[in-house]
Amino acid sequence: MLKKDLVSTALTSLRRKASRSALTMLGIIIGIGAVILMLSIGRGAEGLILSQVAEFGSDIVYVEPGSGEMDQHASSQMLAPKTLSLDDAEAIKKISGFTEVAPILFSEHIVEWQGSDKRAQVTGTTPENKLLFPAEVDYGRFITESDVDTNARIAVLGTQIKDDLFGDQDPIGQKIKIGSIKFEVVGVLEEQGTRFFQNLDAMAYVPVTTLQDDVLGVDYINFIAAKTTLPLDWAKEEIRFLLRDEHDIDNPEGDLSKDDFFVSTQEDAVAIIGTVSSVLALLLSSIAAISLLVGGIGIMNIMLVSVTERTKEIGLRKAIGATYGEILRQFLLESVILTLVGGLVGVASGVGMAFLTYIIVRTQLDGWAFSVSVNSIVLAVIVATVVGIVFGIYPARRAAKLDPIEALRYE
Amino acid sequence: MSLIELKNVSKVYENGGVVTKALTGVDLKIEKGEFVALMGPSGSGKSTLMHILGFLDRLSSGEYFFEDKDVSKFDDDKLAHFRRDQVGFIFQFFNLLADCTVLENVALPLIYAEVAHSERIRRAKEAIEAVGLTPRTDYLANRLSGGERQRVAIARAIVNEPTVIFADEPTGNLDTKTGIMILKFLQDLNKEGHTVIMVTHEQEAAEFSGRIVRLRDGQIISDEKNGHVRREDFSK
Repeated sequence: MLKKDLVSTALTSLRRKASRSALTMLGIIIGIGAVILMLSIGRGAEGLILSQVAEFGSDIVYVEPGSGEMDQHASSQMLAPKTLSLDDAEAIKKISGFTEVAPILFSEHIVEWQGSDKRAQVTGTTPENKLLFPAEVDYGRFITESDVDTNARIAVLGTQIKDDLFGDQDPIGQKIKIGSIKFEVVGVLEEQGTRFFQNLDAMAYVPVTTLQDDVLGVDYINFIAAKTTLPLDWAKEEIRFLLRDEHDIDNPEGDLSKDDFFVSTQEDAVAIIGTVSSVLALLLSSIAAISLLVGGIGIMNIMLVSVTERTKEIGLRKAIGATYGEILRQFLLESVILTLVGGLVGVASGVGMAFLTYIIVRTQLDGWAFSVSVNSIVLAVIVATVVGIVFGIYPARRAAKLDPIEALRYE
Repeated sequence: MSLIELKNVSKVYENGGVVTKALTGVDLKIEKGEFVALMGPSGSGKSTLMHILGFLDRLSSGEYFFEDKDVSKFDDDKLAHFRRDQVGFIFQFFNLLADCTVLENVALPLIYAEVAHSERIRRAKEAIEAVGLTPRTDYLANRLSGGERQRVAIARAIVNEPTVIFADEPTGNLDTKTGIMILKFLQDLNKEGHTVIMVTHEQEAAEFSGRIVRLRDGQIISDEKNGHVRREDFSK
């Protein structure tokens, strides 16, 4: 049998049962389409997060309270460990190779001006704030060294909270209330947008000392960002040695779980994101495998029905000279066409859905790229074909093994 | 050299421990150009004999030579190739592909013979013309009458220019008049040089053949030349 005839015979048989063929393909279409879509969304999200991580300098070391083994999400006010202090930041600054150190304290308060109020994140910081939040001052000024030294009651506002409180009025020189303390607005920042799903423009910045002493009455900080000229691993070790000394931690073997602080860099974050996305990819692959298994069984089922329905036709084909191999190939090709076409339609609809997702997300988030990997498409098509062969072989063998005499008598 | 030579052929079926002897010690020679009717009541073994002769079934013991080739030594693929190249089948229930056109049905055997598409169409159209169905070429098979369907089956059986045409109760599902027309076709094919082997249980149908072989209980009980071959003239 010529290859061309084999293909057209298989296609004709499938076309004759067009709606059944389409329904059979649906399982494969959904399976493949969902995988393409989810992988694309995964890549988009990963790209978005990585691009935001990249905004943090690659020469900055971050110190957080608590050991690395502790729940990293426990960073809300109540649960965060209180083991880092301003003295730690001062000490790091004294190590050679560290040029700038930014201690940060986060809190949330009602911010009030002339009757209008707004719940906002208030960040206690220093002039080195830009290590973490790279926004420039739009007008007015930022917090200075002497503001920090004197517990100055001044505040710098993000654009959104400024708009919320003041509208079109000039906020510079106005007194706002944070908690029960009055602060003078001295500057407004440029628009920054959203990072890690947090609206940076809704934040207010005050000197870290003022927030500690006057508003919260605490002596800890949440975060230290330190810019270094040292190699990162070296810089991390320097900080660990220093803080163990400062905190009287006896840990000569360097067991990170004994520390009450945690040192990381942008590289670590990238590595964690990499791990998260490979776990995600594994999860998606298992879902895909299950849906393709179900789709494949559907194909096998339909092909078995088809073989039974066409017993007489198979008998006739054998009587007029079709060999075992020719019948086998015809039925195998039918199931492969089902899965291959299903796979291609699945890829197309997956890519379409991914593009639609991109269009929708783009209106909400910057930095989301439309991305479908060629590898995943090639893999999807190969997998679909393999599913067709694997699940098609049993019905095809059943067809090919039919005895022509019995098959011709079949009613 | 005979076209077909069976020596002491037996066929035994085993089904769930029950052994059925379909053929016992059959000796038969058929020459090229003969029109042979295999007759007998149901269960006589005439269909089994035709299936063995037509390469659809294997014998249990004995020898089968087709043009001096030992068929019992053929594997399944070789049997399929002989069905494709040497024989054409006509069945009682026509066995056309219902939702294919007349042309597609007739051209079907040529697909397995790996004949190129244009040549297939040409030869199929020739065969359709030979059975007088040219106006029906593009009709779907299930829109034809019984007689027309059997003529399509005949066209399909001759399209690969076989050495032998096997007809299994070709008139069994047709009215008398149409049946006679089909038998006339078989006679014409025989006259053109085809060997025709027909299984039938109708004496009337057998009368169109040149030789009548009667079977009973798996054995040949008579093998006679038909001295009074029935002729029908449709021009009347």
